[in-house]
Amino acid sequence: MTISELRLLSKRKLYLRSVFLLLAVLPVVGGLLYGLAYSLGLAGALSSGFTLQHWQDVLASGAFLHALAYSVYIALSAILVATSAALFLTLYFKKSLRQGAMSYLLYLPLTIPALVMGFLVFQLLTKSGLASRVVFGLGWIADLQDFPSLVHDSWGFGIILAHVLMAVPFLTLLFHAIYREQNLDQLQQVSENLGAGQSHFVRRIAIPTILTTAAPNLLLYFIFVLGSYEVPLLIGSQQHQMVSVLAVQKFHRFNLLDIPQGYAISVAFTLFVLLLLSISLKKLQRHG
Amino acid sequence: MGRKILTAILATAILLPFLFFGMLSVGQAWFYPSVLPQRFTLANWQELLAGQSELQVSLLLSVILGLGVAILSTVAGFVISREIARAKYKNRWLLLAYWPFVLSPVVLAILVQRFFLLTGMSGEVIGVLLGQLILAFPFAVIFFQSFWSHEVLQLEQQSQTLGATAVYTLQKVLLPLARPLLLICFFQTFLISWFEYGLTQFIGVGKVKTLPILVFKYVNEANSSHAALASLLIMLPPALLLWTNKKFIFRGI
Repeated sequence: MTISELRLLSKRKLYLRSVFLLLAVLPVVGGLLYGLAYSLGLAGALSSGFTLQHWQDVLASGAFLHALAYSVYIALSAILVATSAALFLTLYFKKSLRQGAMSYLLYLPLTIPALVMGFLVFQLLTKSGLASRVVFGLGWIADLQDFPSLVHDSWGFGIILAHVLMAVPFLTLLFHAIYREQNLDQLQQVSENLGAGQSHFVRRIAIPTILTTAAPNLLLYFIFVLGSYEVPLLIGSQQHQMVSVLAVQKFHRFNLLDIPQGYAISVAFTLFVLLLLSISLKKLQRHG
Repeated sequence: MGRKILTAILATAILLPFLFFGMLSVGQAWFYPSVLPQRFTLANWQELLAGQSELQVSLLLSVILGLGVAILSTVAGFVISREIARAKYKNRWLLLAYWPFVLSPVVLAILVQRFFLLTGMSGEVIGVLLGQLILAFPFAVIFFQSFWSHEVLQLEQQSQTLGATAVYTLQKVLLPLARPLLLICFFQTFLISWFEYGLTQFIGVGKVKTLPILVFKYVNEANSSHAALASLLIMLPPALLLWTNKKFIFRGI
């Protein structure tokens, strides 16, 4: 290779890596730095020099910590329920998942985005929704007011259900793929030859293998639910807000002084997620 | 018997959203406590097919945005993932590609919106396209890492050692090998754009009305039949893709 060809190659390398940094890294890093500067009073229309006031306001009001705790509760509940349901489906329907109608049908819910799932749960579970009409028809309630509040409720039932409905097909397909990749059918035969029963195989071999292999995916899904926006926006309660909804609300208010707080919440949430990820991934690597 | 009943319940639950939205999109006068609407009409669907309806414009905009995002991110992702696969600190570069996915899209939108405001791209289609690329492009880079295996990189080197030009190697060796993955990546990045709401709403400031934006608008207006129709329009193309090939929607581990 001649010197000019080598130069051209290194120029190309530099150019391609710059494009990568520009498109994938700069928006996140630049946005984070700008958000941090704004929340510290160093940028923005109302900036008046370095101040910790906005961070103090955010932490003192308790709204952020409350929203964070509520988001963790929603994400944990959704992942726990969805994982249990997906484990059951994977182990109970392992043959039908390999071939037959179920192997196709289970992909269908993946075509439903979060916003549409939120709308669906609203239409099904609101006081005048389909479920209420059905139980009214069955004579179980006498009036629509008798139907329990399952959306816009403070326990976040609707939000959790929407996320469970989205997560179960995805996790089932994932667990099924792991089941096949890890040759669990063969392991079951070996364990049976050694005298272990079906339930022993499920408890001691199948579930631990699937959960250990899927742990990084479960962690990422947990983070996805933690930062969810569309579902709580549509069917969340007024009393309790998830972090993304709270952050956006700060930007949509007429008070310009709320904007630095919105940035502070966004930066704090990002740092929380990064911290959570780095601790969890280190732990997973240690046990992996 | 129990398994059959459970399968039937599961199949009904999976098909319910499609049937229910289908019913809502053609139903009129759905008063409590009736389980079914009193009248059925195809007016909403006809509105979609005839004239310049809001839904039609939105559908077209979503398709154009989706195609733009898919083409740009697949091409750029393919080229740049090769560069990263050959990099000395490959894993460090890859870790950077995961960053946008750590954040909630709407939090990401909050953080980058200033850039779009300053460049005048806020509220513009080009701004939303660029915003969606922030998610779709790193996805494509990560996606193609599985393609650039040691064998493929060696094959590329062998082809060039035997005298083939870079363009010839790309045309005759790499593209035929990568074709199935290019297709999957194209459809999956299309779906990232097709489903996106938070970033689109924030950068588009409600002016760039893609289908998800319209669903939310109709829900807010309590126009459930239009919201159901818009939801079906979002769900049906990926369902059709699924019918063609499951891998277009979900790629197992």
